[in-house]
Amino acid sequence: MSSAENRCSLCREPAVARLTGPERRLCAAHFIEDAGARVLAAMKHECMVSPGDRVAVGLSGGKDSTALLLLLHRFLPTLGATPVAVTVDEGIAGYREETLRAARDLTGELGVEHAIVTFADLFGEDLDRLLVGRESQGCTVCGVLRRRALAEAVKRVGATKLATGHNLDDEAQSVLMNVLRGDLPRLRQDTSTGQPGHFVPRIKPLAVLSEKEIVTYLLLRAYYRDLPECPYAGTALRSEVRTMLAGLEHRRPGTMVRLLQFRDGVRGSARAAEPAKALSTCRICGELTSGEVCQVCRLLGKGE
Amino acid sequence: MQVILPDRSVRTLSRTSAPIEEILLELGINPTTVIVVKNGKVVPEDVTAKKGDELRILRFSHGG
Ligand SMILES: [Zn+2]
Ligand SMILES: [Zn+2]
Repeated sequence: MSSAENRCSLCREPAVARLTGPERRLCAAHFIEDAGARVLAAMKHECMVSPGDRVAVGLSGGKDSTALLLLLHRFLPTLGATPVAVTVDEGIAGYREETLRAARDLTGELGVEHAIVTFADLFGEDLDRLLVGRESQGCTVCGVLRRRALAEAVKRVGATKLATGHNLDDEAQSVLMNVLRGDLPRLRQDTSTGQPGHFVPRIKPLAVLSEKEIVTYLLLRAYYRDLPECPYAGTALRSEVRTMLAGLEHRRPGTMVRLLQFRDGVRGSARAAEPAKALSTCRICGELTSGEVCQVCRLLGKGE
Repeated sequence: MQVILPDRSVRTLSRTSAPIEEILLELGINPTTVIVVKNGKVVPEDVTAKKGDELRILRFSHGG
């Protein structure tokens, strides 16, 4: 493909990306429009928001959540809903300071209400201190606590929905990880409906965009920032699955989308087959759990 | 042509012309994990890079 042939399918300007399904080349302006239109279409198709919704937007300050807030800031008002940004400050030295600043800059620029909750405030200590002696479990511990912190932030701002920046890559990786772990309950778990009194419905508007498309979107809109990476390296399985899926997606485009279709198929048939497992409430904090004491209280050592 | 790798090191390739995808694969880079900026503009990887072109390869770090 020579540069002369690399033209936008819609306006003949130089193309920045080649997309499939349907096959098309898009210039910067049309790529931005196309990505936004796909997110809006998914929000409408899956009825993610209703008029009057106050949508908490999980904003870490990283790339995915930055794109999420940019898009929701634009689309929610057209759907009769309003965004409120919520940020969890885990307390990770050398990492969180800069992303927190990026988050504050963005909400300031867009004029979006912004609430920040900290691990220190909610759990008594920041993540770095909570992890002393078990640093290798960083992401697992953080994941559990961050979910609780987000739920708390949602309550504090009085939101009716929670939007997170999970992209197509994240979602496809999770499907494959659940399959490889043999974790059918987790594969089936659908958080989009919520649990009255405990969790508001969770929506993932960016699940139709790949990580590459999100970074392209941010680059083209001049919102891409080279931010530090979290020092807690992620789980070993996720990084293996990420590499494997990236290879498959390159050789067999559409692999990630098909994994999500498979997951949705499993959820659909499982729902019809058997009723959901009953949940009880944690005897220490009162939040939902499948056992007697929830994961958060166990991680904080309150269960003994 | 000059290639600026994700770690900001610079490689000079002697090839006169090649599709960017081929160059990436030769460098051991999966095209789905990077964005390529050719002479300052984002381009799809099936575009051909020629002598004198500058390719900047951007690997997006994870965590969102
Ligand atoms: Zn165009
Ligand atoms: Zn508890």
